[in-house]
Amino acid sequence: MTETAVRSNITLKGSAQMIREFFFYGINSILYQRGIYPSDNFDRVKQYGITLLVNRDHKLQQFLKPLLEQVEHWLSKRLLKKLILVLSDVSTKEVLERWQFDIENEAIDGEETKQDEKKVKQGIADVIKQIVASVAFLPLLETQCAFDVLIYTGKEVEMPEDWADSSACLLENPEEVQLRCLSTGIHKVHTKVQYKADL
Amino acid sequence: MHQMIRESTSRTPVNNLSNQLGNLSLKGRTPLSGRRRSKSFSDLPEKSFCKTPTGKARNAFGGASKGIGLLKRRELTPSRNADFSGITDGDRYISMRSDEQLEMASHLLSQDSIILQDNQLNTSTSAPQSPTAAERGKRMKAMMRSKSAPGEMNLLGGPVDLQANALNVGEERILAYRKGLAPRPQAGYRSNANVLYTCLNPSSSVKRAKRHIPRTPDRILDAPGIADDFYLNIIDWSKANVMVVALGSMVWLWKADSGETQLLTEYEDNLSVSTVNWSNEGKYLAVGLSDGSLKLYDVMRQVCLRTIRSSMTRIGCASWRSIGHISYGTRTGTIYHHDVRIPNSLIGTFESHTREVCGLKWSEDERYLTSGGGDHLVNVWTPDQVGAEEPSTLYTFEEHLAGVKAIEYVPFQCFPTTHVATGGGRNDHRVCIWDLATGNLVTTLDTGGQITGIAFSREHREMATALGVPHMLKLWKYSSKLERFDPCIDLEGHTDRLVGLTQSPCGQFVMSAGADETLRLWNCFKVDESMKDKNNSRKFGSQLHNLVVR
Repeated sequence: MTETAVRSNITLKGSAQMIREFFFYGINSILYQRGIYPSDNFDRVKQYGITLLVNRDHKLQQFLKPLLEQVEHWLSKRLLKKLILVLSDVSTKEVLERWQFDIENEAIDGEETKQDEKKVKQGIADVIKQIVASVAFLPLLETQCAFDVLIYTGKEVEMPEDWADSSACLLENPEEVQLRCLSTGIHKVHTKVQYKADL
Repeated sequence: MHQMIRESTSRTPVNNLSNQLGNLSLKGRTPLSGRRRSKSFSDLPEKSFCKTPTGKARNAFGGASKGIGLLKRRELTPSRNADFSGITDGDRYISMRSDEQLEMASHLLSQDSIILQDNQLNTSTSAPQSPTAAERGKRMKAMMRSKSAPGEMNLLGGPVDLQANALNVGEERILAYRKGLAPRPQAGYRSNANVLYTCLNPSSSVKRAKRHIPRTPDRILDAPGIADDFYLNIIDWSKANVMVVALGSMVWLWKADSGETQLLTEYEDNLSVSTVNWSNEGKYLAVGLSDGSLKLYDVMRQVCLRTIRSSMTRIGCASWRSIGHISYGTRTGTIYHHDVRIPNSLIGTFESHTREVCGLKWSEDERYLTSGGGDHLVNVWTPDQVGAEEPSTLYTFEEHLAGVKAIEYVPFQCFPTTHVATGGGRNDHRVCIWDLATGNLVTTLDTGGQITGIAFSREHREMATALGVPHMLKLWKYSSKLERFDPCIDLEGHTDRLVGLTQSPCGQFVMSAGADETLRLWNCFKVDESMKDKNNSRKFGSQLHNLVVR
């Protein structure tokens, strides 16, 4: 048996919550960096030791809230495999960018997790900094884009309201960049971004 | 000027150098030798830390080493690191690789990509995994990878349907949350993602930063033989961006675009050029001479089109009107007007000055002609007086206490009517600004020196005055609130008095002529183009502007 350090143990629920927060800030950052919404819609928030931008549009927050709650629910049940943020052209519906967050379950119940909360926060901050930095190499989105959130789960998952089956929305011949790996001890998130390769 | 050849090794004749290098021997790799070498550096008489290895090789360039002095023959190529003890041959960096890493690298390369252990390649800062978890994770990962990567076989067997429209591939189910229903940004929003940095705090961008005025001239041109005479106007800059300067009996052109100089014409020694003036588009040049003749040149063809002789005394100043009329002032104080298109070109004379006319200028709209003379008077005329029997001045200003040479119309937007600035000479030192609609003196400024030229910047609302003693170009900023000029900066450089000033057609540069036989180009009225664009977009409203532009 490992040590019983009270504070530094992250439970499944806690991990799900942290990952949900990470998704929340990550999605907001992506929406800001890629210009899906005007930059003056965003407020600055200090989290994880860095300044993050969060959209203050009421409608958008209403849209995201139940989505993320469901995501958290699935995370805590270890049902969530991937979360995808798809950016597609509004008029042609063509997929231009695909942000993929793969979730890997690390510890099986019964095992102790030895992850420090501080380290997890640092890890989240690192990935978000990388998302922000990715604007340096991502191609310019010339047209107005909209976003969609897809998730990959197991087959046996019951479909809640507002969720419908969908296609994978893949890019053909994408360029792919893998970002940092984030681990809470229970979940491990691999982030990567796929974008259209310049021909 | 004889240029010293600073060579890099790539330019040497190859066989020569390789011979030299072959002669080098690597001696003494102890730390002491390194220090010895650094001492030899200081023995070098000249400062170039050359890239050639030995003195002998330098001599191979023929002539470059003349006058350099003896260079010590070195055993090793000199490196910047004085403590370099020469472990490797010369300056090449050879990476140190331990055997262990090489084995690992080849092991990893030979593995099949699917079986790769995650933690071996893991470069992230996340926590290390327990082995069993790694196994599980690796298997999961492999499954996930095979699903998303096109072209790979599904580990569980069976072909993977790679069509984008396929649902529920294998064990997975893809769900979308309210697909296509994410709230849209407001109408008319176009992402300006091609702007790399957006200013989130708009108030700071409104504040206009103080612009930097370079204290040194952009160019210094030699002007040997320039006349050191207050009463002459020997430089001018055309709208076609060509500058002309009169040096003694020669007329030189300087093309500002290319930097080329060209001798337009040269006269006999007894004649000297006393004034030069461009026509309004820069096609024709009027050259006034010391014998009172005015020559007109077509600059493109470089021919003298016409010579006008109305005066017996030197022509100190001239000014064109756009319709082929030219006015010039002479030493006797008479101003002549000619229409150069007709054979009998003289169309009028003004005889109000009693001493030499040294400043003469038509306004942009040609409603006023301002003349300044050595009699300390400033006369303002209207064009209808040109052909008159007894021409009379519109105004006569007696404010100045010295000869008035510098005359310039003020282009500031805060002055709704035509204003003219006149600058006084040695005992006066003042610039006076007159409102020509009323004849009132708007403001005066004591510059502290004899004023030989004035130039204005419309955008910055500034004035440049070329002064005699002290030998500088002074810049002043006009404050319309306080209705006065405040000192801005002094541009020093000339070693003798400034005798003339002219301004570029874009208005951003001024060229000052000095009695020290130099012409100096100052970039003092630089206009920031991006600021101009920003101002425009603010005028039209930023969103509307975006839609129009895009």
